[in-house]
Amino acid sequence: MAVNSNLTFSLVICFGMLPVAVAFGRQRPNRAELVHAYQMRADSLIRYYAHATPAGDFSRGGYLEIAARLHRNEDMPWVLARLDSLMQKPAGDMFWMYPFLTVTYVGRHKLPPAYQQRMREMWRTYHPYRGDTENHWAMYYTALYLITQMYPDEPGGRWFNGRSSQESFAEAREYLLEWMDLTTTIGQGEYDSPDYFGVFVVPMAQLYAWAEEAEMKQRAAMMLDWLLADFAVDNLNGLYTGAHSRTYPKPVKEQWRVGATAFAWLLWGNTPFYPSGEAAILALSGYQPPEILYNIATDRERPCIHRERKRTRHRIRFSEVKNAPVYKYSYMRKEYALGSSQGGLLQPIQQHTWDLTWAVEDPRGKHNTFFTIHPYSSPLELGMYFAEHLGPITELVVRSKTTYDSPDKLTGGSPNEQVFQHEDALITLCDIPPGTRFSHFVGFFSKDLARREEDPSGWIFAQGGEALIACHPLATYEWQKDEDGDWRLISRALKNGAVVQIAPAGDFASFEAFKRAVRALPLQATTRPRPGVRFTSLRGAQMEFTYGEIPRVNGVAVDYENWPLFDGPFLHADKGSRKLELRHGRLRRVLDFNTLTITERVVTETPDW
Amino acid sequence: MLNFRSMRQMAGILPAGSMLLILFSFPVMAQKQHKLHAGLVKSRGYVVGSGLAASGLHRHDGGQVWTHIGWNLPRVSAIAQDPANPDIIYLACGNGAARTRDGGNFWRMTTDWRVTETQDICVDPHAPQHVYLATAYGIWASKDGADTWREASNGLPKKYTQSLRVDRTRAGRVLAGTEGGLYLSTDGADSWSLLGPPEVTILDLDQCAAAPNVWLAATQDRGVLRSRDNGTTWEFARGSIAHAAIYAVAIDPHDAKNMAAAGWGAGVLVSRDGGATWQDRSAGLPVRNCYETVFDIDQAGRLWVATFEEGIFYSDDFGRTWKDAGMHGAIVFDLVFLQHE
Repeated sequence: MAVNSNLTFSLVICFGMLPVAVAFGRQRPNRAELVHAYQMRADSLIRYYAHATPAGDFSRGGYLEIAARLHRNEDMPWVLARLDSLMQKPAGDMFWMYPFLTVTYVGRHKLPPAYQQRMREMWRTYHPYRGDTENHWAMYYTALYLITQMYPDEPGGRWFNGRSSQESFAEAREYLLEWMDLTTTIGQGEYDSPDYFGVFVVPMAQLYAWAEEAEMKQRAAMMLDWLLADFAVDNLNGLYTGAHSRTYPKPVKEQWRVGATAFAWLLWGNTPFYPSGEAAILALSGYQPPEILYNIATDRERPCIHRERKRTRHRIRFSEVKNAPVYKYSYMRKEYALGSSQGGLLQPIQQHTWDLTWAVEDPRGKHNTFFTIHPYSSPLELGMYFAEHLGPITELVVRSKTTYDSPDKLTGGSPNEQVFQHEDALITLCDIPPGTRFSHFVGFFSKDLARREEDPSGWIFAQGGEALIACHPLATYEWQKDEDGDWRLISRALKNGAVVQIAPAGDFASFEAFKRAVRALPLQATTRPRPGVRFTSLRGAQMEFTYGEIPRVNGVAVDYENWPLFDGPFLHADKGSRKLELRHGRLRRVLDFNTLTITERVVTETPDW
Repeated sequence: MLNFRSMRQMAGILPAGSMLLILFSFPVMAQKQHKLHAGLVKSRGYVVGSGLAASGLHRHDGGQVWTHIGWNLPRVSAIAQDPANPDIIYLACGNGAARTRDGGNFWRMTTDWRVTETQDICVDPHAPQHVYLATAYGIWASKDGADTWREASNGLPKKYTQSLRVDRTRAGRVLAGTEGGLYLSTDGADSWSLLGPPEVTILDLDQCAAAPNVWLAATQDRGVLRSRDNGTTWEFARGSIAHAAIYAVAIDPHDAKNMAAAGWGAGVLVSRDGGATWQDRSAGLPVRNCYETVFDIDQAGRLWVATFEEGIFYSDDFGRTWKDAGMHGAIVFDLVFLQHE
């Protein structure tokens, strides 16, 4: 059974070795087994951090390692020595706040009073910046909420911001509720980010662990369920698949090597071990993931379509709306996941508009993905989201997001790119104005594809794992090999795009049979005056899409207006509802922020898949 | 104490010809000393979440010596001083609007989570309890010295606001530089109406101390706008400045004909004829990318300019030569003369 594998896996960790892979059984573990397995993984993760620095080495070790040792009541001399060192020069703003807060709470009954007083003093003398993203604010206000809860009656002169405990507590509480409300009505802003997912989980885990207010504790538990369900439904063997608000150049290729993986390992054990301090805080929080999350994250026996509504980050300029809607669509099955957003500028710098992820036995080092991109760079994009002058804004961004202004970039949205997906077929169109800084269209073809063939029909056929890939570029192209051995399709036509059809290998007797079937599909494509495609997919759907127009399936326009907050066999929430239903088999779990209740029930009817 | 801008504002309360009378009537005020202050970030090597070298409010103590005051924050966009009580200083900073009432010993964040991305802050000289705050999400106003704030963007079709100035000749008359042009309020920011060209993003505003009818506005890619009727009508400056990205403008408090503009790629330009013609005075500066400029209040004819990360410079010959005042590696968002005990 899977749970036994996980137990063995955790024991391996105890002895300081990283496991190679996790074996999965076919039979689903029961609730008790899941609870036990999760606790074993949580304990082993905390132990990993407690022992990350060798005993006797007082020269290194951060706050999370201190918290882990405090939790395990280990090596107080090392804990105090490291606190002495780290507290001499606080830095990192909200990235200082959340680990320091963790030590503050984990150590509140364990650290000597003198240390607790010095730690209290840090909240007066060090002034953290609140930051400029939602994850920054979630961390900042959670820390402010919890530290003023701990010291509730102190005047402004005792705090870094000059505001009393009561004022800061009320402000923090109000903001956190506002963020929860926004997220549960029109979707998360920094949505589905494999890199930043953890820094939303951390503050909710901290509130769950330490908020004294029953309402806030309940809200935090519900938000944890909400965020983790959002991850679970896009999860393929531990990987966060589909469109992302934010990701980085390396994990966009090697999807396993990213913070979200650590949560998949901790929560579900469905991927090789990947450590992250953020996951360790969840492990420390005492949160127990409900059984249904495991089932949603790991049940890929039947293909499914899943839709989500998200929103853009707050826009400050060059836009008529503050939060534009993001329409996400995913087709998930055990062999692969194909997921997309509608394209356009949905997030600054790090947007990932669509991709295919195919399942692999061991994802480490694998580039098991396929996608296209129009690499776009413009001060107008950055100015839409950042309040800097336009002159230096690109240079300032490139200092930390080094590929933003590179023609070779593999992340980022484009105002000249639109995407339409139906089941496991996808059309991407680009209409790039002359003079655009980067005007080429790129297809990423991984080094880990089993094959890649150019067909006289104009289709490019490939295979990754058990995913058969067909890609029909709309314009001429050339190939370039990159530094990692991956291949890039480069097309320099301004009016551009591609038709993509994915299929499971098991559906065809051979690769040749797949090619014959795709060649026979009706396909009409044009690039003038605007790119447009009429295509009938392998599953028989007639897809019509012209750049700048609403796409149609079988003659019916896609209904973006009524796009749900979540919809699919595993999750459902209406826009504006503040209510998410999790579904698996006959089990239902409802998170209702209108009543602040979590309810579970077993339905009698046969699940409607 | 009275700061430079406060002094200009007080002058404007009376008829324009009364400036001399003011100086004679308040001899002590005229002798007050001012210190140049800067709102800045030591931006080289910094990204949010990394270690931050002393940033925020700095006071110039001569030569290349700058003293850090108050919180270490990566952004202080603007500085304002209460003309009635110079111990009261306001900052538009990264976490909101901050205030000190004791000359900088104790600071308090006066705004909450609703207020962010602050760009400018100013005080009404006729009603010092009235404070105005420009943000990327609109304008906020306070009538109680920043104890409480209300959103005050009624009438702004595009809320992004980079610059605010209170007309020193009339209480409650406020000009706002927004993404959608130049806007005017005559009721203390309760409502706004379009004053200037709507298609132009306004990035800075200044009103002359000696002649309050004279205004300058900096624009994104359209050079400078000037007004000679107290902001009622505006015209674009001509010549090479006409298509420049100008981030800051300044009018000499000692002579309204002397003007300066600084911008991205534009360097520093000066006018000696009230904005009719402009001359490039960037030679001698390490870069042509400039963020801020201001005329010295105490030393007639001295012009200050902040470059992008290459230091703050001053010139005593209207930009023909420049002297290095330090602060290398910083982005300076605001340069203001505050009265100093």
